[in-house]
Amino acid sequence: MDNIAMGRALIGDSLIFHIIIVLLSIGLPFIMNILEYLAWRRKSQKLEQVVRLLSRWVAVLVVAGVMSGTIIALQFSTLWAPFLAQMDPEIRKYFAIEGYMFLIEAVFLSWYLLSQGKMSTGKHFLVGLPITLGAMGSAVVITMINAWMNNPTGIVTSTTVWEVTHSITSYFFAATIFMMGFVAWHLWKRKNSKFAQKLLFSLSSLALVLMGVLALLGHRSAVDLATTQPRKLAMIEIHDKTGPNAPLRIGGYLDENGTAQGGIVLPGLLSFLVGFSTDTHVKGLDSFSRDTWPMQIVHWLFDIKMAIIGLISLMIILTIGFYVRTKKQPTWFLKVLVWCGGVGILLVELGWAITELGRQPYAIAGQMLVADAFTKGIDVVGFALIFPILFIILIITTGFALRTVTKQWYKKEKITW
Amino acid sequence: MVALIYALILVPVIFHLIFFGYETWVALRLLRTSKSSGKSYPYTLATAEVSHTVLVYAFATFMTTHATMLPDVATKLFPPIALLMVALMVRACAYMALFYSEQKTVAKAWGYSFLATYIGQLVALVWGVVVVLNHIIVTNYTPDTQHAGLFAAGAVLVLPFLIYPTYRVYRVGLGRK
Repeated sequence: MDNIAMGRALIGDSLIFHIIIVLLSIGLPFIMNILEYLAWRRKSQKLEQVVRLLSRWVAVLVVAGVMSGTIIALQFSTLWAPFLAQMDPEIRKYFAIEGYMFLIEAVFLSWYLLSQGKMSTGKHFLVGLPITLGAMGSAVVITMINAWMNNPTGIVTSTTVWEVTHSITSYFFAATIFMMGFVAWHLWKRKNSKFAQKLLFSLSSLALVLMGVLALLGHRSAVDLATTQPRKLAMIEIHDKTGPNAPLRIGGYLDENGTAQGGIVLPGLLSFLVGFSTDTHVKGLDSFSRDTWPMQIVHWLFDIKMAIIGLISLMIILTIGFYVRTKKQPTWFLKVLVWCGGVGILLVELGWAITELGRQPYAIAGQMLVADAFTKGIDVVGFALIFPILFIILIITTGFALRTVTKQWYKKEKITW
Repeated sequence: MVALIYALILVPVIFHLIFFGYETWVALRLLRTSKSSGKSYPYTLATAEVSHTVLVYAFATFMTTHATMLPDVATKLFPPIALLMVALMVRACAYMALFYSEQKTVAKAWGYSFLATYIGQLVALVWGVVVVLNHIIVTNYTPDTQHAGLFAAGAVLVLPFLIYPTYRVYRVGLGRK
């Protein structure tokens, strides 16, 4: 194990953990704001109870998120110092701007938690809005930096637009699926109530809308890749030969000669998706030197992601369908929904893995290799092997904390629905 | 402009250190009681995050304005940073165990760990500052000030927005309504 590999592993572990917290810290306040607004307008005690549960979850998650985010910043400043030094200062400044967003989120979250039950629902809703705005603001500026890493031709490019919109929407989606999983669990284990069924239906309707938006944004992101990150697209699709009539390949692999083999081949479909014509030229891997190809795993991760998207779309449609027909869900389906609660998170992780691994071997696409971005002279092997244990402990303690606040919520709120 | 940059870094650090001292005292109290209770409990729950975020803001500003010197100090800076990373992660774990445990009393080990992270953080911060200051003085390093105006404008725009909520958080957290 060399230092660069371990340094990559360390930041990779940190990001894998941190993104889970980030997406829930953005998505859950978003849902919390919507539900609190509805609770205020409809004077609904039950919705207020759900809001209080969400706020307790967010309070737990933000602690883990703040720490894991700080860990990443600390790693950037030491282990990836050459990368920071080489960054365009116009992009680097966004790290400092993120600090402001973070302050807004943290201060208003603290005030929100302390003022619960001490001010009117309407005012409390207004106090809650900056939490989501601050969290989103943080995510926007950090994603802008990542978009620049993928396409360093400008500060705000088409890559910025599609990457930011696609990722933020996916966080809302993942949090909605997570909530659906919890409500399904409540219906299965606690009580089958009209309120909970309607809540599940509302969440699934929101998930359907978000899925539609994500499909459009995902498609536009992929089309943008064809012009701004063709190397990444070529590996995502294991498209080996530049030219028109580029096929879409589901499954398959690249052989030792770099030729795509196997899988289900749909002739011309990739060209059509990129440019609405099978005559559209799509750059293949043959346009790039072999030592700059990303890892083949990017293709398989993408195929897995698409398969999961198909399944979760079916689950969402079935949830809506069951409610419309019978006003409730079968028990077997509730159990499946509970297990699906984490699928949105998995999709986000897969998406980020594809984005980041698809840029390799570059840290800054076309400009700086990962090997050159790492600080020479720091022995990080031992630290990188041991430190992830702390992440595992934090995951376990965070999980227990979430369980505790949920149990306390049931007891304190005397949930009857 | 250089003075402005250092003000944007040092003022939040001073704010953080004041409340850091109080939170360390809270950690000592938690050790005696083995369970979060009393006035210090809601204070730490609500304000620890604000205090920490203020430090993160200062660090982000430092990182952005001193990026060109980081490759030169990274090797010496990594040990205190590694210590700080461990301290923060252990603190997060201990925080979850202390403040969200279903047990009436919590294992002393968590209390000791929680306190140790404050000591670790202090050692790491002092060590890191010494490394950085030494480099700045020896090389006569000047930070990047090209965005000082923007950062200052951000502070002018954002801080008034935060004054009232911050006041309410610390007031309620300290047990005064």
